[in-house]
Amino acid sequence: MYSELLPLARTEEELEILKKELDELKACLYKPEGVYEEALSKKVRAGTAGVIRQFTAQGVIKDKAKFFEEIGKALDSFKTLELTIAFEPREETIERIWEWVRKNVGEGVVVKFKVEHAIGAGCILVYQGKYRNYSFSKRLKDDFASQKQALLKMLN
Amino acid sequence: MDTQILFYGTIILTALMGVVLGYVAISYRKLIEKYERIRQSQEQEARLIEAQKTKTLEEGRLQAQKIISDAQARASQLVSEAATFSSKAQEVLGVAIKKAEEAQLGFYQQALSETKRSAQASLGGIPKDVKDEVVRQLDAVRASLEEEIRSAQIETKKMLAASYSKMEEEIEAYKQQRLKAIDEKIIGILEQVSTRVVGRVLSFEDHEEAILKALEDAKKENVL
Repeated sequence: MYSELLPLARTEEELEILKKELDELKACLYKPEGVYEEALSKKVRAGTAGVIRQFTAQGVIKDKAKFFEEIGKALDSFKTLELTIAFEPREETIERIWEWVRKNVGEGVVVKFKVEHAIGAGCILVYQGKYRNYSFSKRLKDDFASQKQALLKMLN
Repeated sequence: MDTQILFYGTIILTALMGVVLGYVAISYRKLIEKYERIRQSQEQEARLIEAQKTKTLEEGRLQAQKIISDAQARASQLVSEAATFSSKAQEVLGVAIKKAEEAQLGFYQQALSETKRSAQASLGGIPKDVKDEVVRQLDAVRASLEEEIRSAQIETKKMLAASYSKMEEEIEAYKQQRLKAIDEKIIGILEQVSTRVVGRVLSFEDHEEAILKALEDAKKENVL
């Protein structure tokens, strides 16, 4: 349902932006003619405006008020996958991870990135109350703990 | 007619009042003169009394001074006489005390001489035995002291050895503790350095691969 909108809300930040844009458009529905179109052109991202226009052209949006109501509810039900990673994610990173999540976890999941350089590499993951630490620092700590004596012997 | 009576009545009354006022004025003047005389008389009397009082005081003062001078002279004479008596009495008393002392001393000297003679007679053969006994006692005390000193030395050595041993143990324990802390710190530093180096060395692609690998693992573990 409205899967064309999903790439516009890959991360938690993007989801919030999309919600605000749709609220903005919804608020223009009962204003004088032309205000809605102007908002579509100037107050929302080009990608968002493109998808809305496409929906309108394809006849997907028959009742705009109903559409905004439904899409608002759908976005509110999105789940969040929190990933703590060791670097600032670039566009490709967001895209790759989101694609993987979409294929393997399902639609309606946004990624919330947190950056913590101290973990070295890998990630710490929190999803629906579950926590896993797949960071390099954790693995290194575990390895050092298990081979502590050997390591100390080597150092001495 | 009435007017004439009133007129003449008024004139008569006015005249009478003038006469009365004149009498009052004359009486008042006489009264003042009398008062002035009395005042002057009183002042004169006061002056006379004051002069009399001054004279009496002066006489009294001179008389008191004479009494005091006489008293001082008499007191001085009495003191002088008392001092003479005191020195005479002291002289007599001193002589008496000296005699008493001499008598007492003679008595004591005699008693002492007698006691001495008596003691010499009683203890004549004892000194050698006493000397031997004293030497024996001294030897015993010396031996006892030496023993005490020896055992104190041994005790001290033992205590020192025990303290030293305990100290060594404590130092060793502290050393091990510090070494362990250093080892932990080294491992901590190693971990931090390794993590930092890996974080910097890996490319974006490697980082992303590591994350995707972690996600795969999470999926396998049913976390996702």
